Amino acid sequence: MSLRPRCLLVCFNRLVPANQGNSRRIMQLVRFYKARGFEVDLLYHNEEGFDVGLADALAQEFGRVVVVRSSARKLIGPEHVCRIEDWYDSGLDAAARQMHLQRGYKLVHANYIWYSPVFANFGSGVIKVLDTHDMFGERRLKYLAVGMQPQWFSCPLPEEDSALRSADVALAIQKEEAGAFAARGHRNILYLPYVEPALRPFVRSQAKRPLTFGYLGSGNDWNVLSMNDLLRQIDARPQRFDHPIVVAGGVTKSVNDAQQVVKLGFVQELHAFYDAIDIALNPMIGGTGLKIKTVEPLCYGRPVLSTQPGVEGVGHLWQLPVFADNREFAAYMVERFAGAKAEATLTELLAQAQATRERLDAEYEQQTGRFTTWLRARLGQRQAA
Amino acid sequence: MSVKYDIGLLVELAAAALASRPGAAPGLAVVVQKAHRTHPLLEAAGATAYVQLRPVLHQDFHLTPGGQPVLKGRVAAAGDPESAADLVSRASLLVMQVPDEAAAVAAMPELEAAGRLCLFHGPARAAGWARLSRQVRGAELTPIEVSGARLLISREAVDLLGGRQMLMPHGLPDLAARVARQLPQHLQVELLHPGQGVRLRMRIDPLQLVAAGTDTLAHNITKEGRALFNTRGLGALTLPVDGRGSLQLLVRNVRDRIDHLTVAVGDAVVPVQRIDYTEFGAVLTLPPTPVAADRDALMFLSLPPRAVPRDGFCDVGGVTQTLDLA
Repeated sequence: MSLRPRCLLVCFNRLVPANQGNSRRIMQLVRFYKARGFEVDLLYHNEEGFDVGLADALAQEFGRVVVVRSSARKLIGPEHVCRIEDWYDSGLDAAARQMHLQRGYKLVHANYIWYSPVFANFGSGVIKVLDTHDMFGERRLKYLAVGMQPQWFSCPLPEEDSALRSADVALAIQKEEAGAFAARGHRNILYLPYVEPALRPFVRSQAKRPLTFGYLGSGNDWNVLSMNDLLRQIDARPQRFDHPIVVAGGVTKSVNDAQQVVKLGFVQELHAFYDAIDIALNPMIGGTGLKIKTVEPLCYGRPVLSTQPGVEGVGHLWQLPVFADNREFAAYMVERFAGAKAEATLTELLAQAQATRERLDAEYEQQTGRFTTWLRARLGQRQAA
Repeated sequence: MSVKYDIGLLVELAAAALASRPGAAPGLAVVVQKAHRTHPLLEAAGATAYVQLRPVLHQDFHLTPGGQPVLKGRVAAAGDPESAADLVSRASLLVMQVPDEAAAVAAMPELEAAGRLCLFHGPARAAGWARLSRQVRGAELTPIEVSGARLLISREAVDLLGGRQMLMPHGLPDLAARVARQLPQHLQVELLHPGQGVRLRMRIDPLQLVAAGTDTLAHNITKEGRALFNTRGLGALTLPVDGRGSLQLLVRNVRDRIDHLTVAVGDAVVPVQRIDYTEFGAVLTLPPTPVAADRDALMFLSLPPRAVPRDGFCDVGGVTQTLDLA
């Protein structure tokens, strides 16, 4: 029996329970590597806390876990310009080198471009994979375009380019992002979508309740702005919309009160939310990165109605209705779910959701297949060398 | 009590001197041994891993730069031969305590002496030498006899240490002085009165020595980053340098006098020479407790129940080991 190749995963995220989109994306990759025979170690840059529960959960998931306290400066310059050197914590270097000496990694996987400097601690014999999660080059402009204050990390394009070049392969979570990176001359980009296993079939709920809509989101500005915009547009329609809309997650406290809105707040288990609704809503008016809430309902057997920004990244696979804006979205809801039409519309949406899910699965298979082939080839080259 | 020409001390100093030598490329030091031992100076010099030739019973820790302590990579060669072979193959410095027991000899990993610095040591009559000799046939190794023990050391290592004389009894103080220059925070060498030799003071982070027999204690040590006793006041430390030299331990957070604590190594109770109560905690002075080559070098401490806080842990806040070289 030969030793399994080892992979070092570097991230700042609280991975268990994976109740945030980025954590779930990372755990998707952890499952991917494990399924291909890797033993995965974790270098956790502790920015989201560390406690008994997390320690035990991580110990079960990873071969070895090293926790480094964060001393990243995370400076944000004038006009919201950030630099990778100000966001990367060089305190990670010594720990990464020591782990590599002791464990002999074949692959190092870093998340987010400002963690790309960690690659410098590994020689050419180690495969370097960067999961971008989002496009951070001039990300601030997307906020400014809709009159919002830029949030989190945004850097000049050359900094992002440099980070992408430092990896053997950079993973883009959306096809459009992969295309945009490639258009900037990068040839090491692989599109790897976020898809989780389907847990529920697409069937009408047997629960005795009115047809129920739902929105689950964190409390970020994009979500608050988007949901309130949809509610405003529904309210502005001359016809009444009589179906309940369940709002859950951090966004709840900032969503405007409305007659049809049922505020659920934080939910412990995702399936509890999705079992309580029939159709998921995603009224995004903008934002960056993959909107997990677009594909997540498709794991729980629920169709999704979305605006155009909401389906960015999966638009080429999408078989469900997509709306240019929330005015059009509200019009559809009021019109198509009025009276007896509602059941027929739901049946139609369930079939479209099923078709979308099948396309997503097929594309995921194809892209993971490409990544697997690439990895095997690189591992073979490294071993031969 | 002075330490004479001792194989454990010689190996600790030689390995640490090689691993911390100026200009050396970062590399992995791998220690292959049967009994539970730790090499604090070697660990201070760089990344170190252990291959154990019998099952691993105790969890202990190494320091992570800027991070929480992590379980030491102790691989049981019999249970996980692939990982043991992988570690040995990646070692730039290989230290092996050659075993005598048949099961331990059978668990010895395959190794290649070429391309790495090697120190093989053990009782001159240990059964493992025969197997090792076959494995390292043709390698350029220098033999040195040390009071009934044998050391085989790579010729390149001898050259890097400044010649064979550095490994002789009269060279040991110079070797220690060299390590002290290379690792000043961990070792100090003081000249005793003329003709009376030198005194070595090893300052060791207690986290490198503390051992945990349960997952709960291991978790608490990792989380708190301190060398903890458990909630009942029981603690364990791995004795460096086979227990040679006297130890001073700072025991913190005790809520009462600990005059009646029990200290044991193996089946022998260790008499505490002295306890000083300071504002930092109780400072214990313990005599040398030499441990036989095939025994685990573990010291167990049991604090009186009244001294253990109900809302926290006692811990070892500092360790100094003092060895007088004759």
